[in-house]
Amino acid sequence: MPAPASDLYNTDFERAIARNKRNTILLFAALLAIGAVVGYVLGWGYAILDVIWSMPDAAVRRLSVGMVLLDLFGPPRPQAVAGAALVAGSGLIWGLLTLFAGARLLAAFAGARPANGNDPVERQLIDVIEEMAIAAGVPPPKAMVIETPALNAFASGFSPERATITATTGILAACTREELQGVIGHEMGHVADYDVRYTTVVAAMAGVVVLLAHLLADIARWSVGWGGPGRFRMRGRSGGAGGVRLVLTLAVVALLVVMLIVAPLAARLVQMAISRQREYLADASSAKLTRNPTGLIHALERLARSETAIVRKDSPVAALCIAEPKDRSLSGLFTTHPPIDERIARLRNLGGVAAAAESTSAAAEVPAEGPPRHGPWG
Amino acid sequence: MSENLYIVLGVIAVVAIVAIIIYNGLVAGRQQVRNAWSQIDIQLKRRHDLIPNLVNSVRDAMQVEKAQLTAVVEARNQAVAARTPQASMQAENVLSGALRNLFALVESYPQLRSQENVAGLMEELTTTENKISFARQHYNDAVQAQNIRVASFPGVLFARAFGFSSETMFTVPEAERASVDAVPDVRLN
Repeated sequence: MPAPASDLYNTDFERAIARNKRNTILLFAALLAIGAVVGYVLGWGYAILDVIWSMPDAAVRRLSVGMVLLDLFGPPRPQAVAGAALVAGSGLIWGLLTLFAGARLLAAFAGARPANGNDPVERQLIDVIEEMAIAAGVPPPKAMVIETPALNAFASGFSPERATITATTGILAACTREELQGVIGHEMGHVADYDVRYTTVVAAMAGVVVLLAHLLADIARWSVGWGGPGRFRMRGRSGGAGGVRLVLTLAVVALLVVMLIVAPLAARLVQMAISRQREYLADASSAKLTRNPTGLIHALERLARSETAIVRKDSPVAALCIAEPKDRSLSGLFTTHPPIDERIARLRNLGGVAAAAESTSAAAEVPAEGPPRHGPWG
Repeated sequence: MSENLYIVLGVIAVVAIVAIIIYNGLVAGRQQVRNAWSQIDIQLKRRHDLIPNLVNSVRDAMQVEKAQLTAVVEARNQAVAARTPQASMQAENVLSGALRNLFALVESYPQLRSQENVAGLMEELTTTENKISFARQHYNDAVQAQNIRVASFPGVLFARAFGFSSETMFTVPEAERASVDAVPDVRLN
C-alpha cells in the first residue's frame, strides 16, 4: 500500500470551489456598485452643468465651487439616478451574458480558434488536455489555439463542463510534452476549482472597461474638436458671470476626470484582492495532477526567459494567462500574477513531496537534468 | 409536556437530515470511485485497439527487433484474454513494460519517427499510456477521498450502518516501478 499523498497534494478543491463561487458574486456586486457610482456621478455632472449654465447670472455669482461639489451628496437628481441605473443595468446584462457565453466572448476577444486534431502539434495539445482532465476527474475542456509567437495559455468558462483551454502556437512550439503537461495541469487546476468562472467574469468586465475607456476618449476628443458643448458657450456670453461659470464648470469636469481615473483603479484593486493566491494554488494543482512539478518549473523558466509573453496589447485576457503579459502600458501598474521566481521556488519545494508521491503514479517522468532540489520534506 | 415532544421531534429531524446528507455524500463518493475505475478500463481497451496498428506499421522497418514486437503482441493478447481482475492487472503491467521497451526502440529509428502515421500512432499510444496512469491516479485520489469520508467523523458514525467500507487503492507492483525508474536510462542511450 503506497503512502497516501502528502498534505500538499490534498489541494482542497471543494473549499476552493465554494470560495470561487462566492468571490464571483462578490466581485460582480462590487463592480456593479462601482459602475453605479460612476453612472451616478456622470449623470450628476450633466445635470449640475445644465443647472449652472441655465441659471440667471445673479444666482450664479452667489455659488462657490464647494457648494456645487457638495450638491453631489444632496438629494439625488433624476439624471444621476438615471445614469446609475443605466450603467448598473447594462453591467448586469453584460454580466449575465458573460455567464452564459463568457468563454466564447473571450475566445473572440483573443482571436482564438478551435485546435485542429489533424495537426500533430495541436493533436498533442488536445491529448494533454484530455490526460489532465482524466487526472482531475472533469470532462475534457475544449482546446483552442491562438496564432502568435507569444508564449501563453489560459482557461475560461462558466463551469468545468463548459470550459475552454487556450494555448498560443508559440507555447506549443516551444514546450516539450512534459512542460506542456505542467502548463495544462496549471490551467486544469483553474478549471477544476472554478477559478475559470471568476476570471472569466473579471476578464469580460475588464473588456468592457477597456471598451468604455476607448469610447470616453473618443467622446472627449470629439467634443474638444468641436470646441466643447456649444450651448454652454452661447448662454455664457451675457453679463459678468462667465468667469464664475467657467470656474464652476472646470471644477465639475475635474471631479469627473478624477473619478474616471479612480474608478478603474478601484475595480482593479477589488480584482487583485482575490486574484494572486489562486496562481500558487493552480501551480500546486498542476503538481498534484501531473505528480511532476519539473514540467511546470521548466515551462515557467522558459516563460521567464521569453521576451514575447504578450498576448495582445491591453488584452482583457491578461488576468487569465499563465504568465503576466509583459505590457507595462496598461496592466503594468497592478499585477495579477505573483513573480515567476517565487512560483518556481514554491514548486521546487513541492519537488521533494513529488518524489514521495510518485509511488501512487506510474506517470511521473524523472527529470532529465539532475535530481530535483529537495524541499524540507525531501 | 408538548414542549418536550417538540424537542424530541426536532432532535430526530436534525439527526435524520444529517444522516441523509452524509449518506448522499458517501453514495456520491462511491459513484466517483466506480466512474474512476471504468475510466481505467476505457483507456486499457483503447490501448488494446491501438497496439496492432502500431505493430503493423513498424513491422517491416524493425525486422531485427522481431522478439520485441512479438513480446508486445503476446502481452497484448494475454491482457485481452485475462478474465479475473487480478490476472488482468498482472497482464496489463507486463504489457506496459513491453510497450515501454518498444517505444524506446522506435526512438532509435529516426526514419520511422518521421513517418506521419507512425508518429501519429506513437502520440496516440503515448497519450493512452498517460491516460491509463492518470486514470489510475484519479482512481486512487477518489478512493482516498472516499476512505477519509468513511473513516472520519461524522461519516464514521453512519458508514457501517449504511453498508459503506473503505475501498482498495490501485498499487503499482515493485517490478513495474523498477521499469518506470529505468525509463530515463533508456532515453540517454
